[in-house]
Amino acid sequence: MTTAASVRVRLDERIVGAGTNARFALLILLLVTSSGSMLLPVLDALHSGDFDGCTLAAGADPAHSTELPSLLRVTGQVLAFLPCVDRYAPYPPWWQILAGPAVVTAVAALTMAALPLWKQRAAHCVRLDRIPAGAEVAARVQELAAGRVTQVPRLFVVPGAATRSAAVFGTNGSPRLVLDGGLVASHATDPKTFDAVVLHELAHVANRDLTVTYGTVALWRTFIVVVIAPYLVWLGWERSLGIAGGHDRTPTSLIVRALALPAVTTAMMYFARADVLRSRELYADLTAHRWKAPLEHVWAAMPATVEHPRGPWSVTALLDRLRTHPRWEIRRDALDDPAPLFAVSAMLMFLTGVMAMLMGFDLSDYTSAHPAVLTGWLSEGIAAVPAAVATAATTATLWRATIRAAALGRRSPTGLRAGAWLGLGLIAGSLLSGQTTGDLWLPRRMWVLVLVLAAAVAFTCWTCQCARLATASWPGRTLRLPLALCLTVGWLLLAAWFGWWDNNAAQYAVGFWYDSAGMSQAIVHWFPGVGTVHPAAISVMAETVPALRIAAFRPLMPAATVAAWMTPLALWFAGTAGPGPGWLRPLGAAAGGGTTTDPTTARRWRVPGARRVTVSALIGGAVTVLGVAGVQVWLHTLHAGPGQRGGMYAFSYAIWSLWAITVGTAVAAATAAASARFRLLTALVAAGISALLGLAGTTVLISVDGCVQPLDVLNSSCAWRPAWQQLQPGNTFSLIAHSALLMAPVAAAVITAAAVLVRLARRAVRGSRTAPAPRPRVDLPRTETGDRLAGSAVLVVGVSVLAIVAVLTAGDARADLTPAGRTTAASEAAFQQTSGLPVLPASSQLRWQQVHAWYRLGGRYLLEHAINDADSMVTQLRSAMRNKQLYITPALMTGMRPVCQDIRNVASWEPSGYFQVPDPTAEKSWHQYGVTAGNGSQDCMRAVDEKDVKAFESSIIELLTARTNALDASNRVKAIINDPSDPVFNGRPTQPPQPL
Amino acid sequence: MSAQSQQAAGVLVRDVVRAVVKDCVPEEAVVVEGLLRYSDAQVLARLRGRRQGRDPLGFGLAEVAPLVTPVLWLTLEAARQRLADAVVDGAAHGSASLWRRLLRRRSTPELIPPLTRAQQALVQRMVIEAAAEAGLSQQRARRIADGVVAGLALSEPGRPPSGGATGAAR
Repeated sequence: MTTAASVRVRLDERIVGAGTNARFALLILLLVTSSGSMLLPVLDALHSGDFDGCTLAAGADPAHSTELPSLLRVTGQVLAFLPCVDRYAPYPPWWQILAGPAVVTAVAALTMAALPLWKQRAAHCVRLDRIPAGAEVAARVQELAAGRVTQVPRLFVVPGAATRSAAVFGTNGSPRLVLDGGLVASHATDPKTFDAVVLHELAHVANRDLTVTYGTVALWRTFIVVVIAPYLVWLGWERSLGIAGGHDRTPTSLIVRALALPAVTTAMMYFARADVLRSRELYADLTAHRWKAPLEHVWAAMPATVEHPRGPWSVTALLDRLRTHPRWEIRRDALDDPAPLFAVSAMLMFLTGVMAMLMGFDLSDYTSAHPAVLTGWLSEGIAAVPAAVATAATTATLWRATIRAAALGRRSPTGLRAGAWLGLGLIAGSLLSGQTTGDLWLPRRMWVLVLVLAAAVAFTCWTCQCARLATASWPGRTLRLPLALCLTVGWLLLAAWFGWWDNNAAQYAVGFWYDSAGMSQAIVHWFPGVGTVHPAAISVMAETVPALRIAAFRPLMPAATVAAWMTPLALWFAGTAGPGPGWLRPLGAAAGGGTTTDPTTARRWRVPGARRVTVSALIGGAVTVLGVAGVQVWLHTLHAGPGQRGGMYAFSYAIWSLWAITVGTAVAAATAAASARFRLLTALVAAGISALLGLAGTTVLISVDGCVQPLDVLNSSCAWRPAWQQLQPGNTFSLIAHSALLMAPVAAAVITAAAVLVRLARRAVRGSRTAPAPRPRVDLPRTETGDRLAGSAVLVVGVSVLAIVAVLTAGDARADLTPAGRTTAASEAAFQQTSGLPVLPASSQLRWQQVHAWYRLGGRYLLEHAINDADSMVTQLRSAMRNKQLYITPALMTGMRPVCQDIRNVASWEPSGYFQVPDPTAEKSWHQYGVTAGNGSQDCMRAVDEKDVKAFESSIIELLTARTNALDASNRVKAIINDPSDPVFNGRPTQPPQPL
Repeated sequence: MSAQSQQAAGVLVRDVVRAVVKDCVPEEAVVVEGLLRYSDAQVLARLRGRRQGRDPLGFGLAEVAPLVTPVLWLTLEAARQRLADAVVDGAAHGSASLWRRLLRRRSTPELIPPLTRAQQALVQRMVIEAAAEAGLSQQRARRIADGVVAGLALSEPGRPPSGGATGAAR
């Protein structure tokens, strides 16, 4: 039997990509993106405008503008806010925002070009071809390079350096090798060391390490000069101005965060770069070893060191992590067993998390300066960038660890620890950027951060199990194809998650939640007619539906949720259809789970059969159908008459059906998760298929509603009425479909976690009894019919899933492609209804500032016009008075029409044309004016046009009421400003900014 | 006094180093030739300073090879300094001397004047001690020290002046 050790030697470290380029890319992208977002405040400081005025006029607090109430005030009045900012404090133009990254990239490119020239400067080293005695050394290097590297490096020597070392620099296309004097001398005295060192350096050239390494160095140096320096200058300048002026109200948490950002970026830069470089060193050693470099000779000459026991977080261990080269003992051991190149490093996972989160936040910062351009798809595209690099960095690492475990027949990594570190990194990034905290030190809702941890763990567990499935069964000779599939889908999953987190869920941690009363009112109006259900059910729905709706309708969500379970299904199908793992064959029969000495481990690697998944999915589908039928029976017992089947009644029918589907998927997942192997994947596939079956069953049941009397809910007669038409109002059927797809993987993940916990608890209760005897492996004889059946089933599932995703995505296309700037008054009102528009509790000084800004930037114009129009109306009316009696003549009516038109124009600024008055009392009067004057002016014009004296008379009464409202609002505002000599009353009033 | 006449009255440190390395440690020829492309002051600065091994793609070992050239050059410089200090007038330690030193630092190669037998023995002893300290074998140290003495003898009256070594010709 082949031993594990001999397999170990033959396991090539290049079996799949190293993922180090992805880590470099993560680093580079982080620097480039943060160069934009860190320079934004500097740019803003140069574009000084009256941004605070707009914030105040909106009723927000500029000193706490990132706090939820202020954010809601601004977002809820975006139709007034964006034009205001556009007029008084225009955001920097796009070219200026993108100038940061562009300049950093350009300067880094120049630095990159200059770096080799600097390193090879005459004061530092001498060209070897200028030294006659160096010909022999050069010839030996040429000899070693022949056939190993495409580009022989130019040679330099540092004669003053007595070390026996060397280094490569330059680019992959134009490499340079600089030899230390000590190494050159050892060419004659110790040729083995010379060869080993030179071959190691040539291995760097062959592994194409140069461009990316020195590119990062150049970028980092540029970043310090071009970004960090101006950023710190700006920070210092702003603080000192604030302190000197005595008006520095910036919270300490924001200042600390602003200072921590460059410090943490620097630390991450060093740790992450050192981590990548250390693995590049090991790769270079192994490449050189393959070229027969006598590296053992070098290590044999090293002095023996005493190993001190130390913890993973000791100072020495941390300093080790800053080294660009691993300790020589590690390098020596790696030649025999390249275990470090297959290990999952906790710090790497953590750093990946921090960097991805910071990058996502930086990128969303770009569009926050131009929120009007943001569409659903654009926000997904932005989220896809950090998702791409984070996926590439983590997936490669986890796959490598799994492959090694498979080759050695060991337990594969579960992904739990890696996911926990990744999640902690994401959380740290989120806290550092202030994304979830606003102005506070910690989020208001800490528990929301658990979602981050859970998502990260789910992602890494999914990746590990997919890797295990592929390594255990993939028939191809290399694992590149399943790895590529896993990378792509992992990217999709993380992109969908980042999109949801950055745009929605992070706000939940800040403290945002939907206004359930407003939501209930909105739902009631979706379905025409009246109808109700239990009030508790309504409030539960109003609380949960908005959050579910937001998550399920994210553009990438349908594709991502389906891909989460279609990928393992495809891998499983490809695996069972083939003759077993093809990539393991060259490694010998011992490799892989089948014949290791540990039977429990061996079982873990065995691919599960189709039966459990199929049965679980069918059970789930059946539960759903029964559940929907149960809902119908229950609603039928409410005996709603034909006029009472709208409103909440119809909506709750849809939502209860959705919960029936979700319960079905959860049951399917639970049945499948009882499996001992690939628990998450079997649960996912079972839940996914169950959701499809459940959705189909629900659609049929709702479509034939009315055909089975005890199940009648919406109809009393039998006919085929497609469910998507019956539940069309409020896009409700689409909500069911989207949510059913979303809930399948979510339910599967939750159920799997619960199953694992139950298993652990049971094991803890029973104590560590002897492990159960391994069951003998029974391989059912494969039949052609069975294969064909499974193939057809997978094909049917795949096609139907693709069709559903295509229909859903296409159905949402219009909404997802509409920029946020095209907000309508209706959508703003809907936002205010579902999210609320809180009145900030403010000190009298802040309230004064808010009301003053409101009055200055357009409020005075509106109020004065409202009062002037009303006065001219009164004047005309007085002229038509005889003996205290109003005589309505055609002339009066015709003369009043322009006045009514004017009043209508003024009233049209309320409620969404201009800001609400920040003072609640004044706002009440002003809103009243808007409503009354709007109606009255319309009635007036209609009455004039129709020559209807009676209607005209009642419209005049409305307009006179409106006049009182306007006067009330004006008096209240003036009372708050409380200073008739205030400059705001002088000159002509400023017209409110015109809508964009 | 011009450089030409100085050369006639002594021997350059760099010439001695070159001659000794050529005879005793030919494997360090590249090192010496490389160093000879710098001025004496630059060479000394390089030999005295520690090179920082911060190359991200270096081999990563700071292990120092037991090279003869640095030991030799630094010892000869120390000896030259010692002998020079012994003869220089105390007044020369003033600012004018400093200025002269600064000027010389850039251009003039260091010169060892003709030595007496006792002085040669002193230099020989210094070389042996430094070589032993650097970890060279006693036999090798003695061979090198003998080479140095032979090199210094170039400056004795009646010997022709050394050719070629004109300092930092790059």
